[in-house]
Amino acid sequence: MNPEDISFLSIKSGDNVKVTTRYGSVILKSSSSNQLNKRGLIYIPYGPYSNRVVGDDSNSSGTPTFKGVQGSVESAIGESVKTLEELVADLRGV
Amino acid sequence: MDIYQDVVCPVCGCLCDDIEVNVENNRVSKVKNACAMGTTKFLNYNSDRLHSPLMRTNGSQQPSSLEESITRVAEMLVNAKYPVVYGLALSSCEAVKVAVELVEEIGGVIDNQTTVCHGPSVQGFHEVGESTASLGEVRHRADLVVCWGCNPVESHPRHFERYSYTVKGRFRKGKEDRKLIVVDVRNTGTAKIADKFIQLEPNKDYELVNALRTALNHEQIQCETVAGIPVEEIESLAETLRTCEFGALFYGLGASHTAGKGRNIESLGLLVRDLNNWTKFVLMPARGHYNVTGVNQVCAWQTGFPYAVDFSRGYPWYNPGETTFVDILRRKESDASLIIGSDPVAHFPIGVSKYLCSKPLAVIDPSNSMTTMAADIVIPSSFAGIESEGIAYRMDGVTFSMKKVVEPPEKILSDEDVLKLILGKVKALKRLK
Amino acid sequence: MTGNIIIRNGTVFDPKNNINGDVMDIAISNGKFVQSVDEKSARLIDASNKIVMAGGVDIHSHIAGPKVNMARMLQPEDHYKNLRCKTDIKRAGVGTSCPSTFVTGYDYSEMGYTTVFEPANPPLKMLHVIDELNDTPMLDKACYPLFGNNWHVMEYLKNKKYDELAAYVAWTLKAVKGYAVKLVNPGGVENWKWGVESTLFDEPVGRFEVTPREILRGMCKAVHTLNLPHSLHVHANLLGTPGNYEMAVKTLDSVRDIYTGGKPIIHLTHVQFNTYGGTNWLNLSSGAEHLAKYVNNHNHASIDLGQVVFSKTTTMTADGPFEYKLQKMIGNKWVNADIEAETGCGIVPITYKKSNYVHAIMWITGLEAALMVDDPWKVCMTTDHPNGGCFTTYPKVIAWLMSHKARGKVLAKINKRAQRRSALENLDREYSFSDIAVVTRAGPSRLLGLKDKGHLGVGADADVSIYDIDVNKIDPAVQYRTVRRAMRRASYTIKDGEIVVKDGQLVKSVPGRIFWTDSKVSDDLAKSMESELRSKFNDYYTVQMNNYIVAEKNIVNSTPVKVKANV
Repeated sequence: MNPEDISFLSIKSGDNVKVTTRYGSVILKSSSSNQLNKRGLIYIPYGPYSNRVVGDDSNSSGTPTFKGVQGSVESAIGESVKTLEELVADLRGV
Repeated sequence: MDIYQDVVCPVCGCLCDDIEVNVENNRVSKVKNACAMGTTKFLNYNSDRLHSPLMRTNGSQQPSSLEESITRVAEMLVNAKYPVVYGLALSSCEAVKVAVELVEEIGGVIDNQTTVCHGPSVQGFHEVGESTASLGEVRHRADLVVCWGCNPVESHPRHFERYSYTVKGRFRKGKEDRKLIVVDVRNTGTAKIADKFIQLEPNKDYELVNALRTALNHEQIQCETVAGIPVEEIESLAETLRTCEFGALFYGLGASHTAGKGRNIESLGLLVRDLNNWTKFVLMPARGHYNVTGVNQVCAWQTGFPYAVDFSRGYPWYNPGETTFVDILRRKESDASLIIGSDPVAHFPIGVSKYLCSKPLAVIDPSNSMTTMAADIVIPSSFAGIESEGIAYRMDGVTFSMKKVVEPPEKILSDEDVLKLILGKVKALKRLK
Repeated sequence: MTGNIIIRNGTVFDPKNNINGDVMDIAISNGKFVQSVDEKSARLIDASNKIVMAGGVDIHSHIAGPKVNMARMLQPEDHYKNLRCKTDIKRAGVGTSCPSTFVTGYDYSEMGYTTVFEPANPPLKMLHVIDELNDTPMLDKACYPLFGNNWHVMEYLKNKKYDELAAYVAWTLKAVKGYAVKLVNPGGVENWKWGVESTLFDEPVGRFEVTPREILRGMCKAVHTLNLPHSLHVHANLLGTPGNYEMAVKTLDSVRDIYTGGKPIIHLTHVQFNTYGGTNWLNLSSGAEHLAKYVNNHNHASIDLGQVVFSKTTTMTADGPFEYKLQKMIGNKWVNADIEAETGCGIVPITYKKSNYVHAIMWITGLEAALMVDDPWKVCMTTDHPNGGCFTTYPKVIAWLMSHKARGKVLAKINKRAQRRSALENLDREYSFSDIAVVTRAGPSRLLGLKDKGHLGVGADADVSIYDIDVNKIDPAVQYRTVRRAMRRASYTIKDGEIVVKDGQLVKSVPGRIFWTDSKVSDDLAKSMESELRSKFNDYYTVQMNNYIVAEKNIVNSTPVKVKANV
């Protein structure tokens, strides 16, 4: 996350945040980075966490729109990041 | 101790082939020349690996025998109406050939990681073609390198030093007589070392490429900014592209994953085609995943199509959006999946990976993953390019015969051999039917 | 490869052995032709009233490799028109002008062909070519590595190190398992890598200081020195340019003095694309007459046609600059792929139309060349598949060669201006079945140095095609449609003594073999050349020298042809 966005949320780098898009939400650990040099842009490494907040509509291309998804970020101190086992259990519906 | 030279690295699409590996007591003890990813793979591939086939009984995974799991996978595939076989980017081309034959036999769909990666690049290629070259051409001639939506410093760490930027070529000294331009939405590791960084707004690649084409062809851009970039900067970039002696544009998922998809790549293809009116320019997708290029090649020569091939009618059929795995899952049409060396439960959007888990799911993989955790049948395999030989393709289509430097654990077969057993069982079951 | 077969009462055309339509029996045992076999142990094929020839031999057809596969990936629309289901015997497949590999093998076999050589491959990607050939069943195959824009070649020539050049060529052929030496637009592709579109024959190639002529001569001598089974195989400079017949003649003439008798020392491929008169696209004409005159008066050269067939197809060639120019003209999608230190390629789909003046002239040019060169042993019938047309159109081309009437039918429908400029109407030569056997079997085999192919003599490989044509009832000049249909689907195809096609349908799938040439140069020369090559390899390529080499274990039925070099 952009350092200014982190301070805007009144959190420290390393605190948990909740990312929400129209497809869902996910709790993640925040990390300040000067790679995000513009406010309002966050980066989540591609994987099971980012996939909770992207859609599966490929617009007939076969490939979902994994990037440039609009959403919101808020502080989630006290909420925990799910483990991979928990994510699998979620997906299996158990 | 054995020292293996000229070993080919099985991690990203660079397939660096100058790796030196020391092996003692069947363990890799030292790795030379590889980047951090390659070194990590050779030294740590054994961590978190699967040691036994598993089958889910009464909700939990239990150890099973190879024979039983092969039989159950074969039964699953034969009894399904619309099975999908997916993965293979970490497999050898020999394994891909068996997988194609298997899918032909069961009348299912074969798809690979291209479908969520450079699928749009393939679609752009269908439309306009591509002016491209082998990586050595870039090394010897390029005085301008553009990275569009890709970040080689992190994804292909030795790309610049072996193929494109800092490397010495026959006609180029290295970084001193080359220029690096990065087009991306964030200030990546590659952007930080570039001579110029164009930071565009997310999902505006299509607009920016076409604005560049407009400027390149001496037409007027009818607004002040495009994709957040001032028109003067776009016109200046067009001039830089036009006036180089040999330009190379590498593009990644920043271009193929964003709105526009295949049209983004089509536009890049047309931009590079236009540039060839003034100078020499080439385009290349920065393929990320070991042998994904090889999977496309084998599928294309055997079936005509590079991915998402549907055999349910008996002949090969290809229609992205219809026969692509994510869309099949979205429409809830598949009723069984065999995953090979891939982790779609982690890598597909939640909506479709939920459906994937709700139907019979089998996996062939050396290591633990979310997909192996979710699967009904798990068959461990060896690491291609480390524990088994086979053919693989670099991102520019150069072909390598991969080496075996260590023996796999006892009873662990290559995915090629596992697939052969499944194919044999499928044929036997079909004969009985 | 077992079993005895007697082909009974066929009308046999075996020009190499001077058999021209005799009714006779052919005996096969253990994959070879033999004098006779015991009837009781033999499978009997009744070939009464049918033509029997050796299996077809194609000297130049783009069926496998990186550019062929890019062409497949480029055109899914090409595939949708021809969808093939899996059967008990056949794998599934697709393709019209760029068929998938299984379909390529099956379709050739059902047409009576048994040997097809892939004519233009970058050594750096040869493992890819070979792996595709592995997946092309039914046929014996080989590939020709490209040398005409190779940096090592140009440097050896510049430094006048001819022995080392020969050793390098031998090393490369063995390393990448190639059969023959191919030059495509020598020097021109290297120039193109800096964006230079055209290359003159006697102008030094940029930054390398050798001319195309020097490359041609140097490589012709190297091939001769190495005693390779096939001559230098050349796609000339200025392909696809009005007036380029002069270049074709100059190319052949540039090596005339090297010839010392015997088999030809240079094979000019797909001459149709290199034999135009005129000065621009509006006054383009056929220059076949000039090329034919040269070929008739000299014995050091052979040609193949590259005949155009009016259809939608794909042009693909190592001649990158040609494809660049083509796409500028017709605007289709375009692939260009340069390969470091060696060569390049280009692909452009095209539709040849009768109504189009240029296409019509092209069609005329190929046929004029075939009809004006007197000796069929100097001519091979090809369409440069798929550049002129798909190989499945060969029977059409055969019909044109055999029937003035068939040519006339097409001539009447082509662009009127082109029609008026054509001498074709007055060329009433008609190929006989014996001539066809020469240009599709015996001739290519001889030129390729395949002594066991292309004929039905004792000891040769038992590759046979039987066509349902009764020569007593069918006059090919008149009933050319019957000939065309019959030659599209063989009554029988036999490969290495096994019946693989019956009544035009595949009955058995066999893998075929892959030939390559191992020319032995002296140990000292080989050692010193290889050591020098190794010391500079990484300056040229982005792969290690050991990884450049294709191992035999990656080849299905690897069949080396061993010869001894003169150096």
